[in-house]
Amino acid sequence: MKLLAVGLNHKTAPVELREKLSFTDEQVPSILKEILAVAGLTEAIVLSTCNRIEFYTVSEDRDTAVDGMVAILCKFGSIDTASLMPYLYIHEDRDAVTHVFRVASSLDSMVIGEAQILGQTKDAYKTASYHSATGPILNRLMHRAFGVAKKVRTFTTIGLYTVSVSSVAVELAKKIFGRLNGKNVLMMGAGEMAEDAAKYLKDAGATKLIVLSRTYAHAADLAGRLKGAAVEFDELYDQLMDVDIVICSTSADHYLITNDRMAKIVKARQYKPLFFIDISVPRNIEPSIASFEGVFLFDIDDLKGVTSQNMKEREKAASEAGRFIEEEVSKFLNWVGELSLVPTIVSLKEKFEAIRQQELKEALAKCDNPTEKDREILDAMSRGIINKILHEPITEIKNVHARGEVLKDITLLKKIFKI
Amino acid sequence: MILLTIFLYILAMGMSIGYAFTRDKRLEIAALVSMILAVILQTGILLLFYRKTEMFPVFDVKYAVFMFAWALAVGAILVSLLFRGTTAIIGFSTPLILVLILVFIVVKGGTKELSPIFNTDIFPFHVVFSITSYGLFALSFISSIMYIFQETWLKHKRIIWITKWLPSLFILDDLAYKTLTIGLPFLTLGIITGALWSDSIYGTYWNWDPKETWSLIIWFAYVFILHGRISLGWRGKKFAWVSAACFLLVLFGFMGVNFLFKGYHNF
Repeated sequence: MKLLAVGLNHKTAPVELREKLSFTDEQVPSILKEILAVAGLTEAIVLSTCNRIEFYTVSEDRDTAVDGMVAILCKFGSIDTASLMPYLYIHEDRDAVTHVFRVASSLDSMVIGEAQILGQTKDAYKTASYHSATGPILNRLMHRAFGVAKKVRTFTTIGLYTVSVSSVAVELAKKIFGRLNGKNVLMMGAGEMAEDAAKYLKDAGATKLIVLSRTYAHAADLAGRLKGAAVEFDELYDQLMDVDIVICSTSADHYLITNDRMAKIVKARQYKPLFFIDISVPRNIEPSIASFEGVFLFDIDDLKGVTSQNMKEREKAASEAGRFIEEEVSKFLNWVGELSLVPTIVSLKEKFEAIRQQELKEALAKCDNPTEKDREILDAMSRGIINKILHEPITEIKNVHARGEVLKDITLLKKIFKI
Repeated sequence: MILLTIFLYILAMGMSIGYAFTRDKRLEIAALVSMILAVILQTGILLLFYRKTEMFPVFDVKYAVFMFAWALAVGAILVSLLFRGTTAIIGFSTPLILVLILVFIVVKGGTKELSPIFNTDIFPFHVVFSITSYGLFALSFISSIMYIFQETWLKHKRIIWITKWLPSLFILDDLAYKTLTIGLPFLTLGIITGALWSDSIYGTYWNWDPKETWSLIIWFAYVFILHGRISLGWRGKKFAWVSAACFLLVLFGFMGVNFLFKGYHNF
């Protein structure tokens, strides 16, 4: 029995190739069907996201299975084998289990620790099991993988550090205001990052979003999309009296919010906290306003500084998570081993016992009137021989099992003894 | 028993700071648990004392300090249970608690005969109210200190472990303000019951003894900063600084006055 994880991801393959191989949900069932049609292949899961395409399979024979999967990838992606092979990884047994666990725990993701991959893995598993493509091994493997992912999330800090500029902005806002409910956000100018940040703040509970732009039409358009209210640019300083968070992302080449004007506003606001996020380049908010009581100002470099710092923390957490993974991989392999180990030992013993009984019967038939004592002696002797012969192989099987390398050896054992 | 209590407080402090560095939830829970155990143990010590003497254990500075530490610890636990993400207060309050317990150990007393003058109906109320107000003021002080830390780091755009560990500025400001607002009525009650007790023993409500005078100063100080907050809009850092400063007056009133002046208050 062979566990395989075959595929490619953002680290091994260029985006052009990944695009060709990114399968739609509708394609997956037919791919599953084709994989299961490969000789000796008993279980399969297809995981297809924008960053990876992977097959997890259980099969009797490695080479047939790999050849079959490569052919399927080439067929569905309309590419030839030569252009696929350099980017393909083929993980077996221990490596395959480790890989699946790492993927589900988001340690193999482009943005380490991102939360989406777990959901995608779960969906892939659901699809496969819905189409009866999974069996005892992959069922167990995937459930363990989800368990590991949860453990990694709970016991390491991987999910605690936000790595996008928008989520850092929300995190900082929360450190200043506590909950964001009832807080008003003023958005100056547009831009993807600013919109993203505004959306994040709203999702985090911010009540009102006010959009302000040089051209009112732009503001109105943006406000419509983000479910906010548009105001005229002249109202900037009036708005600053009421809002709590300001996202600034205009293309102006000078300071729109100056130290002198802010001095009055801060006082009139009774030093109520005001959080500025200036993601415009060149900056539109005079940096010196940060020294006012209650004013917090972060520019794009400050935010990027925090994200890169957080990314480092995540990487640290990821290496910590590696320990959990290793533990769980061993546990899983033990289970797989046991699956074939126990029946193997039992049938090995049964086979020897049958031989012994047979030979004992024959030996006794050749004796002239064997006494009860003779029977006992012969019985004990034959039992002793068999036990001594079997002792070492069985101990060795168990040792191999403890090292988690059981799959290959069990197969060999079965072959030798024809069990 | 007392050593075990101290050990548990140190443990709580260590784990809380450990949590700050590692962000490991288990450490956070462990810090809270050892804090609760420490308080239970300390309560036990107080109850034993009560059984031995059938007196509120606050007839001298030694046990008053001990009660003070106890009240602060209870307050810190309540805060971390009631407000989300505020367990950092354990890390910040344990040093003060430990200092108070250390004072308790170092200062002599606690063994002399009890004077019957403390054995009146009104006296326990005086003690409970005063200690509660001190505990609350201490919490206000700690929240203010945490606020100042957090504000400084955020302002300088240094987002490090300490900023992630500490609660939001809003919660800290709110805590400092609320504990102070609740603390003040308790101090008022403490002073009133003290006066009533004085009347029942000495036949006069007020003796201008140093302790009484100082309590009045503290009372005015707190009324003043509450006034500042409500009508002059002192908030944030300014409020944190004055509230922290006021608590130093409390600490001086609690211990310093005794060493400098002689009054009929034993502490």
